[in-house]
Amino acid sequence: MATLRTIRLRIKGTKNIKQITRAMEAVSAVKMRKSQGVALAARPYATAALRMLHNLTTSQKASFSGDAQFNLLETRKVKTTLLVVVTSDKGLAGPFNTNVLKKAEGFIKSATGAVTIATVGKKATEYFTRRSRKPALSWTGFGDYVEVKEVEPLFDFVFQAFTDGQADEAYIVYTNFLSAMKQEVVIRKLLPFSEEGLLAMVQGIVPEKGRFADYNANTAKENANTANNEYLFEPSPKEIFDAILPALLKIQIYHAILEANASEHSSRMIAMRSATDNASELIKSYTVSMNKARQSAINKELAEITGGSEALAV
Amino acid sequence: MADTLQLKIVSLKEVVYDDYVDSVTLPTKAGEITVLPNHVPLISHLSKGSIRARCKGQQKSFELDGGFMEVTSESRLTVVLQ
Repeated sequence: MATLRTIRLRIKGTKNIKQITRAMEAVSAVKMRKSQGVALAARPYATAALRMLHNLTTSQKASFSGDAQFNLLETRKVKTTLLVVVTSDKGLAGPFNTNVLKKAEGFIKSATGAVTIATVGKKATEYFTRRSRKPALSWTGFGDYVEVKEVEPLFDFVFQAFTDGQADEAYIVYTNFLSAMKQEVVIRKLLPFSEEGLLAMVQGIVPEKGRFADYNANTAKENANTANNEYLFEPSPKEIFDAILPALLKIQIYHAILEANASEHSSRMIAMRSATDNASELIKSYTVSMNKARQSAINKELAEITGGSEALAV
Repeated sequence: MADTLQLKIVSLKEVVYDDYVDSVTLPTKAGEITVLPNHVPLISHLSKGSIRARCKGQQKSFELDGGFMEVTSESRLTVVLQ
């Protein structure tokens, strides 16, 4: 049995840890709410851009996929795939990074042909470097609330890789924020563009529950009855296509990172909450054994005293 | 027939403006245009400059670095900023 002093030290240490984890939980909760708000603020933009693209394609009768005129829509035979893996810079976020990496690993195994990897966040970079699969581009140190400008290098890389023919397809794997308790790792196709993929992304922006959950119903109303218009294009449909597609790609990447950010914080919040709970339980059991140790020490002393006085009385 | 134009300007961060106006002047890649209510549906690429909206004699102006605009047949004008 441990001595009284060591148990007391342990209780003190656990209490300190509990304080830290509780503080981290509170910080993550605030950050989660904020990054969720940022992710949602970009939604009207994404829906508007998407609607334009939709109108563009329908009124142009341009087939959305496989039109060689617009090179971002071009489907090629897949020799090399580019995979963007979005993780966090920091750990202590529960299973957040492991889940993403597991999914990425599964994707790489099932992919036909070579896979080039680009990583966002220190954790993915470390993971792939350790497995001697050095990422073609690793991008770390983005803040909690990313600016669109900061995403530019990553966007340029994906765009270049596709247009130069270094990659025939581009995917992104990230964690989608559904609610504070529920996140889901998803793989989305970035390039070549497909309308379904974009739609899935835009709809995925809204969380299932919570403050912003009724958002989808409102925007659905707003977007009704906009199809079937005959549009004029200035300067020309092709020019607009060429400009709007990269913009959409940028939004998509930006969004994935925002979502991952919100997920990271909520995942950390949950991990820290259970850590705090565990610490409380540990303290409880330590206190019980401390009391036991103290009582047995008292008993021992009492026995010694009575034993001593009896010996003197004889 | 609508006699006002619904103008909505959105950026990645926020909805910058959303209200009814009388006319809007925008800098497109093909030159500056003014959109009035009941304009034909139009999609255009915007260049750097300023958007000027007029509403009951008052004028509002927004700077932009570029973006896209769409006019629908219901006299709704959406601008997405870049």
